[in-house]
Amino acid sequence: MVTHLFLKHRSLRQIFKWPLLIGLATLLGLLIVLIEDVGMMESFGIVTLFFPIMIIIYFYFTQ
Amino acid sequence: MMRNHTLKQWAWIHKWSSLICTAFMLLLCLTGLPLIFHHEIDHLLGNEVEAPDLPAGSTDASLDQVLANAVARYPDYLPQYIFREADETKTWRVRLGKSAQEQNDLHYVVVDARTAEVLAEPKLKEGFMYVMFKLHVDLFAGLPGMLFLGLMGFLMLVAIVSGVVLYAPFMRRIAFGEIRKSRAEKLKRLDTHNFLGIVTLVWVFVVGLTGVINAWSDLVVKYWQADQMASMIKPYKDLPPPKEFASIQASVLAAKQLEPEMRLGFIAFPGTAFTSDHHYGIFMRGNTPLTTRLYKPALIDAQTAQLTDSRDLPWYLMALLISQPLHFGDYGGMPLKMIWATLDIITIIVLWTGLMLWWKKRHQYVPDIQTQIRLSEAY
Repeated sequence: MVTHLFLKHRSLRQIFKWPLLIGLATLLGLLIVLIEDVGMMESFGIVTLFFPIMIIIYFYFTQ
Repeated sequence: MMRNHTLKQWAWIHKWSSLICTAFMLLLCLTGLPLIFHHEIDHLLGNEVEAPDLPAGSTDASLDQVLANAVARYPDYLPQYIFREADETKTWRVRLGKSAQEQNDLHYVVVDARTAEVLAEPKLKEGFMYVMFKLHVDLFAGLPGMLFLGLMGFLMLVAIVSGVVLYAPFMRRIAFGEIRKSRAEKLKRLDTHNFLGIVTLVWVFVVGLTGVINAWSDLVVKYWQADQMASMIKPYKDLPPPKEFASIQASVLAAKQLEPEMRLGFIAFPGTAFTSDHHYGIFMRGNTPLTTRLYKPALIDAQTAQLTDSRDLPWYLMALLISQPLHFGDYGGMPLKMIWATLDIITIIVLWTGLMLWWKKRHQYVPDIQTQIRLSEAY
């Protein structure tokens, strides 16, 4: 069944928008947890690192 | 739009860099999984040595007493190192060898840091976790094994970069996160591979890159010895080895006076790899997750307990030490370990789906890359 052939090409910006955001969140989380030992910032770092996993759960199991 | 020839080259790079390293990467992911929880597993297996609780305000025993009690167990052995993990406060581990440079005939004695009583002598070179560790680090092949795994890690980095390049043409008509579950199995597999791969990209790249850096650790330390250590111990080069040794506790105090904000990381005894025949190498560490990894060496004259030299670590050793927590994921408690383990399992799925994509079509006619992209879009 032909479906996607009729869809318009997505630009590189559209293709990499989400991966770039997730990548930056991961990098930020890795560095924050490395620098911050306790408190809000460490929790924020952990949450940012959890972001890719949440994305996977959302897209893989809800779609 | 990428030219057909260029796309073919990237597809070739992705295929072969992945194929060569996949089996080893699967091994590293599988063995890395228990290593993330090595404390918890050691605890479950009863291999974790735990010091008894003492009344609050108990002070630490003299390190000379700690050392004496450990050496008393093996009078024919020489102390090589006194060390403990960054988050450990109640015990010290003393490594003893037949000689200062001995790497095989070793004993590890765990001593209570407050009472100087010997608590246990764990066998660190046997058991499930040791097998996992050796498979992960050097495949039981020493330095050649480490360098080989480093090369496999480098190929994985090449596979990641080429995978990102190929991601764009395969995704030009597919929305982010779309898994075509109701279509052919191979499309579901391809979408899963692309989606999980791109979402975990940065984490896998960081863990892979730091793993490659760690594979060079032995050589980096050897270079540091020939570079900075050699110049630090130059004045002692032609002197005979000392026969009388000064107090370890006094030597640590001399290092603490130099770095009052830091705490003791580990002690290298004369003749070992991290110091000279004439010095105690006192390695101080900071108190934050980052600075606790960055040692500051202080060379203390082993006869007089006087500080002779201390230098900041060079950039290459700093890079190695910073890369270690980013590889191990041991710097953020249990939440970070859980994230590491989950991303590790996702990486196994990426590797497996990639391998299956190749396996299923290895005997089939494979059209050129542009046709593959169009076919993947068409169904």
